[in-house]
Parts: sequence; structure tokens; C-alpha cells
Amino acid sequence: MERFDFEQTVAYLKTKSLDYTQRSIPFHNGMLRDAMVELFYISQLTDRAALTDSIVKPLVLHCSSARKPINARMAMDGIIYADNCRIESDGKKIEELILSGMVVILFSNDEQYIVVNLKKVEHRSVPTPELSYAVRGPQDCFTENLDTNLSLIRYRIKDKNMRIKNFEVGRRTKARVAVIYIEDIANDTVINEVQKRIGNIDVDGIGESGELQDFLLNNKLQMFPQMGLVERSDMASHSLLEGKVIVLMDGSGIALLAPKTFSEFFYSHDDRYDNKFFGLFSRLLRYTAIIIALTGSSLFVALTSFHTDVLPVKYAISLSEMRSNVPFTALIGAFSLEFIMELLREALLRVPKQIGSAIGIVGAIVIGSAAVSAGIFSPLLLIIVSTALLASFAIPDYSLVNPFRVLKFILLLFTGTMGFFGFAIFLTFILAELVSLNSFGVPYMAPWAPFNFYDFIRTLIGNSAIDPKRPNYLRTKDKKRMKE
Amino acid sequence: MVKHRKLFSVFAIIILLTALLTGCGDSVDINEKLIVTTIVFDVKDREVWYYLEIANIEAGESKDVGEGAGNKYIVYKAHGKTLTEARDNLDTQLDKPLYLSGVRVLVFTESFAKEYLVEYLYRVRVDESQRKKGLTVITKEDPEELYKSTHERNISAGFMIEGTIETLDESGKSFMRTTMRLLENLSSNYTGILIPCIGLQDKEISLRGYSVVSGSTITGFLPVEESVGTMFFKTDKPKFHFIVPYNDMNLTIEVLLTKRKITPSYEDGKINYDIKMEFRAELMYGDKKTPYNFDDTATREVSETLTAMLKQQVSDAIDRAQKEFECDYLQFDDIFRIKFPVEFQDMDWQKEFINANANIDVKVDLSTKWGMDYGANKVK
Repeated sequence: MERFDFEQTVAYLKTKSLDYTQRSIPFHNGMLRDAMVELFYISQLTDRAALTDSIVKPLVLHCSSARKPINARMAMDGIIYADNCRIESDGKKIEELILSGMVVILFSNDEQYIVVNLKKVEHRSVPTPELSYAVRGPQDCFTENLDTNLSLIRYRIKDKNMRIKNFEVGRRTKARVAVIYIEDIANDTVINEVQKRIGNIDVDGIGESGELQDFLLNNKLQMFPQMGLVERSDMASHSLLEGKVIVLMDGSGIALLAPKTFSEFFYSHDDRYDNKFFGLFSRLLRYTAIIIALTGSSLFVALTSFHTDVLPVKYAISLSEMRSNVPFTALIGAFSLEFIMELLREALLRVPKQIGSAIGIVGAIVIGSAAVSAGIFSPLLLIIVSTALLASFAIPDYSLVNPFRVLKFILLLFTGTMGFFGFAIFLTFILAELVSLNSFGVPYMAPWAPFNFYDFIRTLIGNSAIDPKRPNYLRTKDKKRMKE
Repeated sequence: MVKHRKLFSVFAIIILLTALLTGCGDSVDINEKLIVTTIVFDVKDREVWYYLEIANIEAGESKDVGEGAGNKYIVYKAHGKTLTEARDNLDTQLDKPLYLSGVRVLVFTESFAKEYLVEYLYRVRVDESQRKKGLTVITKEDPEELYKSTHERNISAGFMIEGTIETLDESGKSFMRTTMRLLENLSSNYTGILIPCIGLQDKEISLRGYSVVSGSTITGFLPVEESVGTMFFKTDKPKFHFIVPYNDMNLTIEVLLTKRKITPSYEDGKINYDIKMEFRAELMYGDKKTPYNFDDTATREVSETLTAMLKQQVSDAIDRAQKEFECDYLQFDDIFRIKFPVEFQDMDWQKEFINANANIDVKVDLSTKWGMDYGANKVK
């Protein structure tokens, strides 16, 4: 700790072009020579109305008539009205505090200074979810403001055992990161691992939770997501009650969730709010969807080019008729159409919504009718690729779909060159990779591998009203959510 | 070590690429194949004729008009002195490889079946690309006429024949004989087979009867109208209509075989079969005014007449197989072999079958629910 020198510090802060705002308040209209109160803050990060009302106004009123200078303790105890303030004496921290949005009040006759939190950052009001849209259920979701996000979680969980641990990440950005968990439920290994990995981050800056996630993964080159994305506060609360750990970052509207297994990516919170059987049906639909999204076009190529013998003859004739005028082989056709579909998807994501609908129409006309009538693609291939695209949108967490978008092209190449043999080989690679992964110590393919019957049933039914226990694979401290 | 790892990686990549590139040659898109739906064989002027019905996949796109334009099915034909020569001649006409996995029906003319049935079945057995679950039928018609009757309406002869036989099989009036079943028969010591025989009836494809195949050749023909008793042995759930005379009326009764039990016995070198059949019968209507109330006596009398008729049908079917055709197409050999496998090995089944005795027991459960009895319950 280094005690600060008033004159040197003020001179130093004034000379640096750091966009600090300075407000000097003399004593007794300047009659007390060299006695001064200096306020330093960044106006863009400060609630200036509160600053005026609770600090500047009382200080000016007091100092203008004061016969002798005051010190930090006196000012904090009797003059300023701010609720969140403290006294510091470490001179090295002054600049850091100003940069983090605090108001620093320096006194010419004191080696201590006051730090007041009047931080005010422009942010959106609580928006509706865009990633995890739900038909039923609360529509409030996280914003870029960490305090707002914490308030949303606090509003839902009023448990004294909920813990929020704060970290600062990035040497330059110093972004606030909060690790949230319920102490008597969450597994200590997971909590410690998350905290350890956040603590180990040594990088100049992190701006978004997506970047933060990259630093928290087991294997940084891994394609499959090992952490979940949480946008809605009800999802975050439910996950905390399941024994998971939520990582929130200031400046990011998406929280990270750990651990997250493969089967949980198919879980939508609508399933909890709707009838359990409909939830089961929806989940089975989503499992089918990911299979279609990955294998649709590859199966078409395998059946059309290699294993035509397995087709019923009426279907073979119909397929043959559809392809009779198509100049490309099934592989080239499927590859090109998948590529165009991905192009359309990418274009739609990057353009404003108003133009997006126009691109959709152009895509539908160009591919849907023109390409088929011109005989470039067979209608069946178009149906299959469109269905696969549609199926990829059925997965609640988009981060799981992305690896499959890439993998389907590789699978297509394997199938297009070796038929079902190649198809089986590549699927085996994918499966081998999936079963070898873990998310913060939890097997990624749990409860299928290693197989646990009760957890397996839970992933299918997934209804807390009829299931008193939390999943075994999470190894929570409190195993039961319901008292028997 | 690093050097070796690099070498290993290069080696692995070469192997993988070789495997990948080798696979490229295996693929042929479905539209690059000729999809065969029916194969017909005939013998004319001592030459084997080979007819392939092929789906014309470009018919849907054709805008041409006139005879032959836009036909959904086309016929390729070739002939030769032998089966192999005919096929080789056919191959010279093909612009694309054949897709034989879609063959619905294999049709043999009677003249072909008499000479080449066994040879062709052996040929099919070694041809892995050919569908074995397709039907096999025999015809007495000219193949050209068969094709003409269906192609005039843009229908595949294969689908038409398959549909006809399948419908009859499902309604309990006939049975299907797949190529695979023929191959099974061929592999056993004794071969007695009944193969559906199709023909044209007013230019429509219809079932005309059954060809009796004994050993490796056709030995007889069982007309469809005389095959009811035989169908009680050959069909899974045979269902027929019988006209039963009662007093001065003729009653139409639907008869369904509900239970069939054939128990063989072998004593003192004599084969005996106990055949038990149970039928469920339903009185449908009469040709004159039918009494509403069928009392127990009437029901019993009609039942007895119907039972006698059914027993006669079954007995005639066995007699015909034993005496007229001298061929066990009823597949009694399978039942006997299962129970007496050792004895069966040394038997000349054809001779044994002819002399086998059959005890027939027929039971009929007649329902007259379609007759209404207003007197049964008094209306209050």
C-alpha cells in the first residue's frame, strides 16, 4: 500500500489525457489557501444527478462557509449523502477506481480519500428472449448489466445458501464476472473448478461470455459445447436448483452454465411448464431432429448412389424419375444444396430483420422453384435438405447445432465416397468423441454413457412434480428436491 | 520418434485416401440404372425369349404424343438358343446397368417352365442382385399379349400381377409363391410345388389356376374353380362362399377356416394323417325369402349339409393330389418330415404320399346373425 500525496496525485491525474472529469471545491471561497477538495470521476459512467445532489451540493455548501479544512472521515460521516461509499488510503488504487466508474474525493489535508459508487451505465431494460424463446413461461431475460441480471436471479431464488462470488477478468477490461451457485446443492468439485479456471485467466481483455467460455473449456480445440447458454432468468434459477453453476459477466446478456451434458441440450424449459407427456414427445422430436439435421442429405446420397437395392421399387422409380434430368451426381447435388442453405442461413443472421425476409423469399424462389425447374436439383433432395435445415432449428440450444452443421459436410463426403461404410465410420468417430468428453467432470453423454436407468428415465420425462431426485450424474450434495 | 510419427501419419493418410478413392467407383446413381419390374421367360421355336419390363423414368418428362410415346414402362426383349445366350444378347442392348432389386414378379410361360424352370432358379440363386422375395407365376399366355394388356393403360404388368395375387392372398382365396420359397423347395429331396398360373380374362390379368410342378417340370394344371379344397391347405386364412341348398332355397354362406391341424402317424410302414379343420360360417342371405327365425333344427340341418360339403372339398383335394397329379403339392412331406425325420430320409416320398391315408374331421360353427328374429324378445 502506498499513501498518496495530494498535490502529486492531482497533478498526475490532470496531466493524463484520460478523459477524467475533475471538480475542485475550495474552502471558504478560496480564502483557506491550498485547502481544497478534488473530485475525480468519469462523467460517462457516473450518475451525475446523484453526484450533484449527494456529493457536490453538500460539499459546496459546507466548504463555502467552512473556517477550516475537513478530512475524509468528517466528510463521509457528516456531509455527503451517498449510500455506497468507503474510505481508502492506497494511492496506487486511485486511478483504477476512477476507471472502474467510482467517484474519488481527495482532500488536500488528508492522506485518506473517499470512494463513492455512483456508477451508472447505459443499458437496455429487461428484454424478451431471442435465443431461448418460450411459448409459455416468463419472458424476462438477462441484459448486459450484471446487477440487473443478479437482481433477476435474486428475485426468483430467496435462498440464504445462494452464493455469488465476484471476479474481475482481463488485465485491461477488468470485467466483472459473477459465479453463482447454491452452496448446499452444487457439487464442490464443479464450483472449485469453475472458480479455479476463472481465476487462472490471464488475458488483457474479455468482452463477452462467449470469449470467457473459451477460457473455461476442458479442451480449447473442442467443437462440441461443454457449457450451456442461459438467456432467461427462470432457466438460470432452475439450473441453480438442479445443482449447477451459473457464470454471469458484466456486458454480456448470456450466462454460462456448467456442467451441461449432451442430453440437456435437448431440454427446453417449455417442457417443464407443459404436460410431461407432451414434453417427452417434444424431446423425442428434438432427438430425431438432430439426427435428421446431421444425416438427412448423407442418407439420401447413400441410398441414391450406393445402396439402391434397399429401396422399395415404387420409391426407386419415383426417385429415379425425379433425378432423370439432374446433371449432377447425388453427392455434388447434396453438397451444393447444403452449401447454399448454409449460405442463406448465414446471410439471414447477418442482415437486418427487414431485409432478412426478402432474402428468405429470394432463397425460396431461386432454390425452391427455379433450381428444380431448371433441373439442377431433384425435388426430393430439396425436400430433404430443407427438412434437415428445419430440423436444425428445433434444438433449443443453438450452440449444439453449430458443430453438427460442420460435421454434416464431412459426413456427406465420407458417405459420398464410401456409402454406408463411410457413413458408419464417421458416425463412429463422432460417437467416440462424444463419449470421451466431459463437462467439468460430468460425463458428456450421461446418462446414456455411462448408462444410468433412473437418470435416463428422468431425461425423458423430466418433471419435478413426479421426480423427487436430482440427476445422479451431477453428484449434488442435496440429492432430493422433494421431501418425502 | 518424431520421424516415425510423421511416416505413420503419411502412411495413414495414403491408406485413408486410397480407401476413399476406391469407394468412388462403387457409386451409381439410381437414375443411371434400368429399374426392372417384371421378367418374363418364354420358349418359342426352340429358342429362349427373355422379356424385361423396365420403368421408363423419362416418361414423366416426355411431351411427345403418339403410339409408344410417354409410356411409363418399356419392354426389352432378346432371344437365344440357351438361357445364357438369351441373357447375353439382352445385355448387348442395355445402355445402363440393370437394377434387379425391384423385380416384382417372375413370369414363366408353361413352355419355358417345362424345360428351364430348375436351371433358371439355380441361376437366380447365384445372382445376388436379384430380388428373391418377388412372386413367381406361370402363364399360358403369350408374354407380348400380357404386356400389351397392361401397357395400353400405362400400368406395369409386374405390379398388376403382384397386386392381383396379393389381393387374393389377403382375402383368403389364393396364396403367394415367392422365388425364395421355390428355391427352398428345390433344395429338398422331394419337390412338389403349386405355382399360381395367371392369364388374360377379357384382356384383364387374372388368376386362372395353379400349375403343378413335380420334380423339375410341370405335370398338371389345377383350375381355379376346382381349387377351393386345396386352398384349405395352402392359404393361411382361407375364406370362401358356399351355396348350401336348404328346403327349396339356396343359402349363401361365408366360410372361414379358423383352425387347421394335421397330425401324421407312421405305423407298420403305413402313413396316416389326421386332418382336423374348424370353420366359422356365417349365413349371409338366401335366394328366396329367408325366414327371420332360424331355429336350432334349421341351423343344425344347414350346418350338417355345409359340413358334408366342406369335408367333400377337402377329401377331393387330397384325392386329386394323390391320384390325379401324384404330387404332394399340399406339402404333407414337411409335416411328416418334422415328426419322423429319420424315417423320411429313406423314403421315396412320391410313392409314400400316394398311398397315405387321411382321416378328415370337419367342424362348422354356423352363425345366422344376419337373419332377424322379431319374436325372440317381445316389445313392451
